[in-house]
Amino acid sequence: MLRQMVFMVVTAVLTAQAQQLTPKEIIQRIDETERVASSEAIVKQIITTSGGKKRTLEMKSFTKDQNDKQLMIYTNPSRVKGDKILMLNDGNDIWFYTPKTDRVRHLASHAKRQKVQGSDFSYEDMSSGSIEEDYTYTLLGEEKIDGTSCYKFELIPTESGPHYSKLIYWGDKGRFLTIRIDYYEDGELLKRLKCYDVKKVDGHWYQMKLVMADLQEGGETVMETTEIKFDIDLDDKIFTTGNLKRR
Amino acid sequence: MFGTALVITVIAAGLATNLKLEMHFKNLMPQDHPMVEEFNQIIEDYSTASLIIIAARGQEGELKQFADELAPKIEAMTEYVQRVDYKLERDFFLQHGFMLQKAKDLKNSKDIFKDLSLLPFLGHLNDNFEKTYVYDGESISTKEKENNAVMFLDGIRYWLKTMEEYALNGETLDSNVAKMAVDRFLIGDEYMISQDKDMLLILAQPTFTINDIDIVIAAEDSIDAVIAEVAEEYPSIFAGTTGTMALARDETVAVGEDMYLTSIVALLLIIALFIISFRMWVAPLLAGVSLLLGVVWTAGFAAVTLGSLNIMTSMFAVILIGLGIDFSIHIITVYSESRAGGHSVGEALHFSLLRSGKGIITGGLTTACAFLTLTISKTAGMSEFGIIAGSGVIFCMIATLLALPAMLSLRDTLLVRFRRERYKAKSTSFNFLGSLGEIISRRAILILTGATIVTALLFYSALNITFDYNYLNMEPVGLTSIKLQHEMEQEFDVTPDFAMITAASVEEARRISEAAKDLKMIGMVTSISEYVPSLEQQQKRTPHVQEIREHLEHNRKLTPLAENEIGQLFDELYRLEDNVIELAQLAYLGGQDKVDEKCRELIGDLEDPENKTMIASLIDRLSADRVKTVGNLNLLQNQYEPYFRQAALGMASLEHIDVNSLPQNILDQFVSKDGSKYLVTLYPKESVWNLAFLERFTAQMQKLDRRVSGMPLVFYVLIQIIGRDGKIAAILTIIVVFLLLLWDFKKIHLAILAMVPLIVGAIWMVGTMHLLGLQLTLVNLMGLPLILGIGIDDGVHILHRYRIEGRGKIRTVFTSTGKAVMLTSLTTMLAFGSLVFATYRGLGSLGIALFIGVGTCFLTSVIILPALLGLMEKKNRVDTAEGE
Repeated sequence: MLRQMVFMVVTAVLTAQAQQLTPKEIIQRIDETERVASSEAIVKQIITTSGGKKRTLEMKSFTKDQNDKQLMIYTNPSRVKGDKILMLNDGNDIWFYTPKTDRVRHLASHAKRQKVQGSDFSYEDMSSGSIEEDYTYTLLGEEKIDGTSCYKFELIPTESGPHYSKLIYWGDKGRFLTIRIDYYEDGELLKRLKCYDVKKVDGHWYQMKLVMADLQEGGETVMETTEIKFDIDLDDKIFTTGNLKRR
Repeated sequence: MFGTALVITVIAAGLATNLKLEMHFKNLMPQDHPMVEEFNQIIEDYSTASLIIIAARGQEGELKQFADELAPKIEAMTEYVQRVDYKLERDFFLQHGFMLQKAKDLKNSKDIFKDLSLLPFLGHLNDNFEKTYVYDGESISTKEKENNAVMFLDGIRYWLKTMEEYALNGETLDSNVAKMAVDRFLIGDEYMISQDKDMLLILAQPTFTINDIDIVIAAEDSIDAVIAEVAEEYPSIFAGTTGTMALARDETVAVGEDMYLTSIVALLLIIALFIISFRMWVAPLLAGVSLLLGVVWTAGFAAVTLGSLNIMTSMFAVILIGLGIDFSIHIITVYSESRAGGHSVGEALHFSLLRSGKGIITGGLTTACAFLTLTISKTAGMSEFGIIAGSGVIFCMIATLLALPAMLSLRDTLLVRFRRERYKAKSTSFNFLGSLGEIISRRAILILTGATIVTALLFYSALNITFDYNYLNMEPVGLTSIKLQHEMEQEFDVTPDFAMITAASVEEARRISEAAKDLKMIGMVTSISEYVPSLEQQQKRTPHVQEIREHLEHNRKLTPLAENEIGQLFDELYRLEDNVIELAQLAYLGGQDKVDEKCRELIGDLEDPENKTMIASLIDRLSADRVKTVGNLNLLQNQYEPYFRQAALGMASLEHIDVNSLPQNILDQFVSKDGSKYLVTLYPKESVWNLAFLERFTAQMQKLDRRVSGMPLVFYVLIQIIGRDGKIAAILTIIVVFLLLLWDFKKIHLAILAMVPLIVGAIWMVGTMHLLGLQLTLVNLMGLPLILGIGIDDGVHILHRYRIEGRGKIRTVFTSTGKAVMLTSLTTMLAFGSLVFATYRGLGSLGIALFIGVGTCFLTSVIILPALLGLMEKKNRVDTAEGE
């Protein structure tokens, strides 16, 4: 009971504080929350294959420098165990390694727009760039999404931003965290990201489940984080091509 | 009078023989809808829009032999077939193959042609593999790219297989084996065969269109007979026709047979019920005769006014049998009661027409008007049904009123004369219905409370009913055409339910085709632009093709493989294996199943510790006897090189390609008969009979071009129109029925009273359907407006009799009219129930829905109506007492 009351008071204080924030301050708070220094997570990705089957891939994911560097090590199913994908420069350079051949291959460069293997996420959707730097924003108002009070923004990408023509963004009012994003291209709604199961881990609010739905052609990709640690000490060496061959 | 009826019947029967069956759902659409007009125009303009598809399943070698034997026989059927396609346009590809490839692909692959000696060839092949598939993160990201990768891997697999054959016993092989490997590498498999080589297609271009249904049936039957004849020699092959044409034949034949079967079953069941309930033999047969007259008149009328029957109107006979018999039941019920009561034939006929005549006319007109409101529907299917069923009910009513009394009179007169004794008429009463009505009327509040609760629960259930959008689920079970269609979807990743767009120019066709290829819901696009690259594309490709040409012309040296080079050869093979493994891993992570499966043909199951890849086995074989290996591989090299060079040089033609360069059979596929338009065909990747997918597919196709048409899109529009029409028809029916009741009863409370069992019955019907696990379908959806027209009769007859009998006579009303209402409901239920025997499951779905609907309307009439009448009588008694 006492815990509930404390939570209610804290939420009320936070909401009251938030009400006084300017759009710029809100965006800065969101950037602060979402752009973490480093993380290590266990993630499940559910994709739909071209034959229409569902496939679950499990991986260990490491990020550093606000997601500028990302390493994914597949752990399950055994077919892909040990396969690694390294993304550098905000998803612009991608390397692939499989222990089955023990070779490192440079998959692509300037690949930000490309889809992450089998998913409806593009590399630029995965990299959490700064909203303040990558978009011009307009606060459209406030709205409840699945019971969560949100700020609703219109985001127009700047030249350095992603390739979409527009994003409609809903950020949690209390926790300054993405709850939903609608991605538009040439005025048409392409995709919708919805974030669920927000938890506080190591002092960071985090969405444990992301669902990206392709609204034009159907299909969706689910990314579920089962474990995550933040602000851990990760050696830069982990994010090098030379390190990929290390077991 | 009876003679007049017979003359009309003979004329109507003659006219009815011209009635045609047009069973495709396209015929349900408003024919002036732009999408249907476009569809019909495409069918007329392009013979390829109505292809006959022959699908065969078996083993690769046998399948190809089967196709080689069957194709000429089908092509010889010139009455039905213009042309048969089952192989690639080989000559055209051997002439322009490289100019048809993308500049990026040419750039990656041109080094392959630098040196055709085996070792450098494998090295360059690996370079090409890595540039195209390993270093490019999006190399297999679209369906087209995935298909290209599969073709490339298939070429490699065949090449390696040929190397193994030569290593083993090259000295026994002739140069054709090496040439085949070159063909597979350069242009792929020339047969239309699935990726795993166990399904093959033959496409026959017909001399007619799908709109000529009689010829469709004859042609499909003849082709199936030829297939069966050839297949006799190939017992392991399963083959048949599939696609839209085969399905059109199957459903027309099935419904045609169903029409007769269900009508006969319905008639027999009804007459049996009649005989049991009335304990009479002749009267039911007489009722059957008058009913038959009405049905024949309706068929003649339909032939004159509409000319054909569609999915919805095809069951008109069963519906009329179910409904038309009701008129006879009402007349015979009162007639037999009167005769049993000692009245003469004349008096009995007078009473029966007096007591049931008004009910018959009101009920008949109400039902007919309810059906006729369907004529306002945009859907041809519904409006034609309105015409046939509406007029049919009136015809049956007139036939019964004209013929039945005359036949009954004749029967009784003859019975008296021939038995030489006073004929004693029998009457069977349903006293239990009278008792039930009386009990209910005395416990009105309790019954009405219970009925309200049941109605609320069933209303909730009705709200949760779902729609089965899969049109194939309405087709007969076990059709070869549908089985092969499902297999074809699995094997080729395309369905025969495609969309079509006509373009005014090759450039427009290219724009549509390129945009469509980026859509992941598209399995395949066929367009003339695939064969005619744009001027800009050809300019970009020319330097690369030129370079390939120069390699082939200037470096004719063939270096024999030396024994000390065998290690290098193995290295290249291992490198190739690594490349395939990496592609397989990326395809697995990316969900590109076809590429992954093709890779596995080369590398096997890497998870299996016993697994040995195809390349590892090849290396084992090559290592066994190195001297022999080198000799045989040099033999292979000597045999493939001249053909490889000649074929590749042919493909490296720098000749500009335009529409005039195309061979006639390619032009026939894409260019309209008048040469002014170009057809782009878009094959969806998955079955369109899933509404969510169909909705997105239609939206995406319309975004590509507003003029798009095709079966799936027509179906989608049809669903929407039928949904809209159904709602409008239901509301209008309720209004029309109410107005007719008001005109008949002259009192608003009686009109409302008659409507209550109908509305509640309709709710119970849908609620019960959901409880029984049934779904709404394109065909049974029509059951809802139909039941509003049919279900009203019970209440009308009961209230009419109640008004004649007066207050306090609920028992009498339900004993006599209740019996008639029960029998009419049972006969209608039996008629609709007979549709369950239809092989066309769409008809069955309507039959079950109406069976339930008539049953629930009967139940609400004998449960809710006496309760409401009881409540009215109670109120009147209280009012009278208070007044006194």
